[in-house]
Amino acid sequence: MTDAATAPPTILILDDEELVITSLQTFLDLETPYRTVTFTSAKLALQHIRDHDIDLVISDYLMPEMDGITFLSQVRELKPDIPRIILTGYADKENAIKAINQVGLFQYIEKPWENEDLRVIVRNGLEKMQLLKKLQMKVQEITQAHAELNTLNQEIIRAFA
Amino acid sequence: MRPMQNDPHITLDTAAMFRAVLDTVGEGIVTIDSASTIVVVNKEVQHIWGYTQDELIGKKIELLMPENYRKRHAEGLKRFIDTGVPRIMGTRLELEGLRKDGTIFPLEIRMAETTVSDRILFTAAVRDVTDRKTGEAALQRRHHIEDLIAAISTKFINLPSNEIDAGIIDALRMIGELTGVDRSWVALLCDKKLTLCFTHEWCAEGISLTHSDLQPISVKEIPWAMNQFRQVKTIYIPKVVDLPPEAKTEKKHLQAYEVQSVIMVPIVYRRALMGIVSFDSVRFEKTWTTDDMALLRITGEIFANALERKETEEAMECLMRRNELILSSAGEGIYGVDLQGNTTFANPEAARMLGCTVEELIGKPQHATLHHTKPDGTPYPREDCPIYKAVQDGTIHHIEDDVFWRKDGTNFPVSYTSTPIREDREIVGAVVTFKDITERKREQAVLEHSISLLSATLDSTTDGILVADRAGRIVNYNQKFMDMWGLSTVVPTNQDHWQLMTTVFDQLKDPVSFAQRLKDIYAEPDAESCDVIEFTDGRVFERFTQPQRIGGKSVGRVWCLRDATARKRAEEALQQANNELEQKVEARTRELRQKQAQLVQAEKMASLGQLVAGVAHEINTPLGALKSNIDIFTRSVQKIKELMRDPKIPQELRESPDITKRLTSVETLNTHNQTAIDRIVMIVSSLRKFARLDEAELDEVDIHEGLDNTLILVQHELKNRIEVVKDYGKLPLVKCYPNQLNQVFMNLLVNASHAIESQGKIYIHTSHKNGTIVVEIRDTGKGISQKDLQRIFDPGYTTKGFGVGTGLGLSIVYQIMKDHKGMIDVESELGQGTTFRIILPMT
Repeated sequence: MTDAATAPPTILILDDEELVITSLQTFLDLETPYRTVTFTSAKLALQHIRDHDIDLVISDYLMPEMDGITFLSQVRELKPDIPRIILTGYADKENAIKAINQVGLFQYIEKPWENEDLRVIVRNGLEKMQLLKKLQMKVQEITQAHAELNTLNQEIIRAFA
Repeated sequence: MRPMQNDPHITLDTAAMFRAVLDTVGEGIVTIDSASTIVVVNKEVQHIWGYTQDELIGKKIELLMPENYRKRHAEGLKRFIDTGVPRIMGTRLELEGLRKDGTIFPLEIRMAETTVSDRILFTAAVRDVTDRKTGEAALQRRHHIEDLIAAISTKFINLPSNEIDAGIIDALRMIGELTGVDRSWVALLCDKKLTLCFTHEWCAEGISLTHSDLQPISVKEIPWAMNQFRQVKTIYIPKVVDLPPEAKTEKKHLQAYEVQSVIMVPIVYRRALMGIVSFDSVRFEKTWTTDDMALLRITGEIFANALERKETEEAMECLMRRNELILSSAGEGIYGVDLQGNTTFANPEAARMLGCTVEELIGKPQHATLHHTKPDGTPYPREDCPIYKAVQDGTIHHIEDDVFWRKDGTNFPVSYTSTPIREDREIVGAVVTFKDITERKREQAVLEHSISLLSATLDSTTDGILVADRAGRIVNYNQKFMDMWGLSTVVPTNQDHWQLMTTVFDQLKDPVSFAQRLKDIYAEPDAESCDVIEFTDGRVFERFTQPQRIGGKSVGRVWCLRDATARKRAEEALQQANNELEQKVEARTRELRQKQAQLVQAEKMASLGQLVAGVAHEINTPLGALKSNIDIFTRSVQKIKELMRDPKIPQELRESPDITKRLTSVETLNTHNQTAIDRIVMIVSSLRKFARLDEAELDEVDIHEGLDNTLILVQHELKNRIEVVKDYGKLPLVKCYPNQLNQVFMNLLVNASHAIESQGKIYIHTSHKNGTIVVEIRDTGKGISQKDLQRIFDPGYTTKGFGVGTGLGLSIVYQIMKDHKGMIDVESELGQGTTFRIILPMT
């Protein structure tokens, strides 16, 4: 992450079904430059996120251990900057959309998905991530400059006061 | 004789002639001298005395006299000689003579004296008067008998009945003595005339054997005698020993009592044999004169009368005693009243009721004693007293309700009858019988109370009531009955009420069955029944009838009429209201059932939606993987083909037909996979869109999209046998409940496919005009019958077999269209097909 240009972005995939994981992982591995890590357990996934740099998270919605919304909200608590994508079936679309607003997801992908759509969404997510990082850096710089200016201003006011 | 002595010319011839005269005279001539010496006798003297002339001439006259006359003769003769005063000369004397045989006989004598040659001679002309005397005796005896009969008859007439027995015995004695029998007795038939009982007997002195202790003789033992008695014949047996063999029992009985001769006379009263009276001669055989026999027969008659009188009087006495007993023991008070109104007799019951003794009543004026005051306390004038009226007008007076007064001043209600008593057609008084009717009056009061209650009930009841007896005659009815029957005149009781019933026939709606019903009821006296009678003017009566029973026996019939017109009308109104209500309820029920069906359907749809959602989700997961994988395969094959064109790969490998062929096959198959997966994805998508769970609210909907989605889902029904021809017009979006509308399409399409049994077409035509959308779904199926056509929108109506359809489909369609303010109609022709047309307003 620190060196985005050199290292490929890592995408974490959480689904209770190996079937879906395999499809997603195969596609991303074959057709994109991104690295993937996959989990069928939300806990293990959270653990991994805590310990490693992850650039994007894709999670299924309905899972026995922990639903996708809960999982992704915990991901946000851990690392708010990571773009979070949820994979939903038709039945929970509405809830999913609500959840998107509640927990601030980047996007949702409806099953069955088009691989091309997936690729675009993932890429956009990663770009958004990188843009956000850059923006944060700029904001930080501005904030710092602003603080310095503010300090300077104070000194000037004090000097002229 | 004097000329003989004085005539000198008397000659011997004269003497001879004298002798001849003397001998021819019918009288005995005896001449004696003064010394009583017989000097002349004629032949007749010989006849009379039995002596010859020679035996008498020169003998003393005393020879011819019984001893008791001799002294008298001597004295008379001496007196005449001495004094010359004759005692007996010239007169007829009845004396007695003594015959030569010693018997004494009566004689009549006339004497004369003559003096011949200074000798005084006495001549007597004598006549034997034995015959004359006998006749006289018989006559006298007859007089005796007649006197006796008269005496006996008179005696019996005056004899009290209790002395008749003694009188009979006395009569038996008198007759026995007169007739010189030894025993006379009476035997009467008794024991139903089967035996002869000896009841009365007299025996002459010295006769010891009597019948008094004799056992009764059975009449069967003596048929010979009984036969004659029954023919009212007197049996005269001069010699018992000579009785014929057929009378041997009689003979035995008579001989047992030493009877030698007997006369037995039947005692007959009014031609009936009562018994016999018998006169026995024991000491010698006796003959009876006809006079005797007559006497005895008359005796029988007298006895018969006396005995009959005795019996009658005894019977009468018995009757009187019985009357007396009745009088004294009767439950009624009885007393007699004479012409003056005084009580002549009273029975103990009368005295008891009047609170006094019989003695206190007798001789007193009855009216003043017990009938002086009217029930209301006013004095009762004697002239008005019905008891006296009976005496005055000679008719019976019966008073049902009056009072008699007791000695103590209290009174009691009575009913009484005063009957005049007549003796020889003259009213001599009246006999009054009376009854204390206190109890009866009390019962009557109770009865009257009941009757008045009944009568009041009859009059106050709103029912018409008629009572008839078993014969169908009217016994009672109330005014209400007449009013209801429309009869104003009074109908007499005892009239046949059948006539009464028939008077209303022409007012009835159905007189024939009414008449039949009446006949049926009369055929069963114990039947109870209830019928409704309808009149042509709209009145309706209920007719109840039940038998009137006394002690379980049917004695009549009570008819009760109740005017049920108002009730009937109320009932009809009620019925109508009920019908309307029922219709409303039915309509409401139908509505509710449709609502319910709709709710059920909605519920079903919700469940289906959830199911579809679940299924979609479940399918979408593997579907997603599959779809992704197929895409990867396609990409991979494409990549491999690109890689294979790399010149670095040896040519034989690059152009190997094996690799090329396989790659081509994988590519081709993968294309099919792509198609297949796309179709699956579309079906699942249609499913969830059909359910439109996310669009349960009013929405702007594309009708065609709904139709198409539905068609996809019913594709399995249509398969290859049915061609769907779409003729979609240009439609705007329509505001509706899409899932409900899809349900309508689904139902209509499924029905259409079911109507087509083999091959056929379904035409779907859409159009819009005048602010409405029209969707027509036409099939080429078997069509619907007109009968079914009217009911196809009713909930629960189905022509499909059990288990095939729910019968809710079209009713739900109907309801959904109603909810959308739309319409649905149907046209159908059997064998041609059916067209459903739904019309939806666009707003």
